[in-house]
Amino acid sequence: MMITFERLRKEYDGVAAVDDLSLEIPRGEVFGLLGPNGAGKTTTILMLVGLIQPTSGRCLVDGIDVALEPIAVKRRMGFMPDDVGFYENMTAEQNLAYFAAIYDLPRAVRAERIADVLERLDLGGLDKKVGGYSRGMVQRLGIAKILLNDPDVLVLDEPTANLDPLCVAEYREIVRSLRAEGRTVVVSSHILSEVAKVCTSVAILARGRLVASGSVTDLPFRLAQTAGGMAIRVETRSPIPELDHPSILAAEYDANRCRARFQVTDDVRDWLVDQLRNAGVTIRELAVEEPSLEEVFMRYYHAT
Amino acid sequence: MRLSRLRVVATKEFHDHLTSRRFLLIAVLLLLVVSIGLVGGMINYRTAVDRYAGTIGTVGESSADPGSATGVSLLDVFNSVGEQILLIGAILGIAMGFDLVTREKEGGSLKLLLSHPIYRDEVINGKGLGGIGAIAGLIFVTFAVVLGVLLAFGVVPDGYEAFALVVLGIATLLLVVSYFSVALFISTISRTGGTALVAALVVFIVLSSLLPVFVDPNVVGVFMGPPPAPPSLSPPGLAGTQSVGAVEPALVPGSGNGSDVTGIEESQRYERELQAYEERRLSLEGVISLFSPTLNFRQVMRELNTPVLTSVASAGTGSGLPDESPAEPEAPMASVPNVVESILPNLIALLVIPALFFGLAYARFMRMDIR
Repeated sequence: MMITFERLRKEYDGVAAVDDLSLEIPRGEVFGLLGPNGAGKTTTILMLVGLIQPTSGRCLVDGIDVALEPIAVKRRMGFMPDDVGFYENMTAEQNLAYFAAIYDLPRAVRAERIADVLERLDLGGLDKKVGGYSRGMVQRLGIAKILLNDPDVLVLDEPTANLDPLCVAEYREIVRSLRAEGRTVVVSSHILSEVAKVCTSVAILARGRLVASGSVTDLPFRLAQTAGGMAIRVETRSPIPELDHPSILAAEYDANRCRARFQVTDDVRDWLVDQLRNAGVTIRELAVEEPSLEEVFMRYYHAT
Repeated sequence: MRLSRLRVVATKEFHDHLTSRRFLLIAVLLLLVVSIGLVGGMINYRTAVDRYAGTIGTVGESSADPGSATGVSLLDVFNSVGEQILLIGAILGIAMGFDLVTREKEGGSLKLLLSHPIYRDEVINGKGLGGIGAIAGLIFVTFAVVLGVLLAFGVVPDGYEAFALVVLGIATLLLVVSYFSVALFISTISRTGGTALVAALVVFIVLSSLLPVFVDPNVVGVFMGPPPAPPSLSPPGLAGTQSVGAVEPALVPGSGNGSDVTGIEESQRYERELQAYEERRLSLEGVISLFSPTLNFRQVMRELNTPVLTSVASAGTGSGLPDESPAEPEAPMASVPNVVESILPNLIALLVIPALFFGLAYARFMRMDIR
């Protein structure tokens, strides 16, 4: 595992911002930390990058304890905070030169890296001081900054906050390329569509606790089962008879009963097929109405 | 802590200070005030020396050291700009330090910086060193300007004056660094730059204006209680009116009868009590003064000037002419060891105050949750 949270807890004035969080993130994943404001995402991330100390538990990055060896971890990590800020009296290049000087890299290598990342993020040749940058440019510079040390792990806290659609598209492209390079990326966001578009796995936090985690494709279906059910839509050539099963919560039919929508708590597709076949009804279509991640999240969040 | 990373932060901070409008504005102000004050002081100095030379010409005497003989010293010139240095220096220190941490917190760069492989002590020490370096550079330039003005007026400081100039430079550096470290500490405990500025100004007012009030003899007297009451004596034994603080014998021996003997004993006891009271008051004043960079700096300036002031007093001030006969021994100009001994507690205090506040800033910064 690239990142491991072991029973992580952080208290502020006796109130737990993160409570007993245990989670594992495999190498090469683009992992989304999902939750509303105040769910504990940023606190979790700040503990991961060593900016705040856990009250108990620990974070490991490739087996290295962040609290015990923060410098070793930070060498392998790039972090872009939600309110990323640079020194406004310096140019992008000067800012990057300052941060790059902290790494033990030869001067020539540093200069080459800075030129590379600025070029990659389309910030090359800008002499303007960062104070005059737009929010999107600062965000791009933030991504350029985290690539300086060629990190294995990238941590992005609310990376698309305040970005215009064009910048968001650029950001998605960058994250995909980072994944293609085999890097592990942790993204925190309260924008579900964003997480769904760039992440391979996701964990949902609510009130400091982990409520669910899994792959982006599996999780909605799994959560739907526990958060209000899912729907199965059926279309037939002849009218559908009355069907009764403990898992069917409700059924809606159209006027000629050739179309139905069953609200179910379990996957009863096989049972439905058998029942309709036995009744001599030809099935034209049978499909699960998969709820969106957002729909599932909202239902799940309110249910917990 | 790695020196290379410390150097990276310190260099950046040093550069930031030197290129900040705030620093440059105050630096220009300091240089202007010192230069103008110095030029004015030098004109007065030259006038006094010329007047003395004219008088000597009339009398037919000459002096190898007109400055000292007239009772006019270069140190008077420095003294004339001391208060301006004090005020501008304190403002400079506060202006440089009050938002060193809050600005980075508010701007989000602190989070970014600390997510790099750098220890927090390297950051706070680098900030401190960068600031001190910029202050030292400015003080050096200021005193180089002072020296330049002196030389432009054809005045070469003598040994003691050169010593005083160096000590004054060190005291100025420590004064500014003291207020810088106070402001840096406040910056680590404040949420915003605005709050930090207000807090730093309040501390500045307390240290520079409120604390001196507590050093006033009348205020110190309130804390210590009233001075010992003079003995009540019969009119024949009373040689003069008693006043608080007088340590001269107030009684003259009478006819030798028993009541006179008792009166003398009471008078002597009163003198001893009064002297002890004064010593306690002075030491309390001294202790209170040590807490204020402003008072320490003033004390250093006063002590550096004291021998010269004695000389002025002995030489008379009315015409600039010595009113004592030439055979009368002149008051000692300056004894470097004595001056060093008298200013040492203040210089140590000026070292301890920044060390204390920097230590507090360090401790706070190391434990700070960066959210």
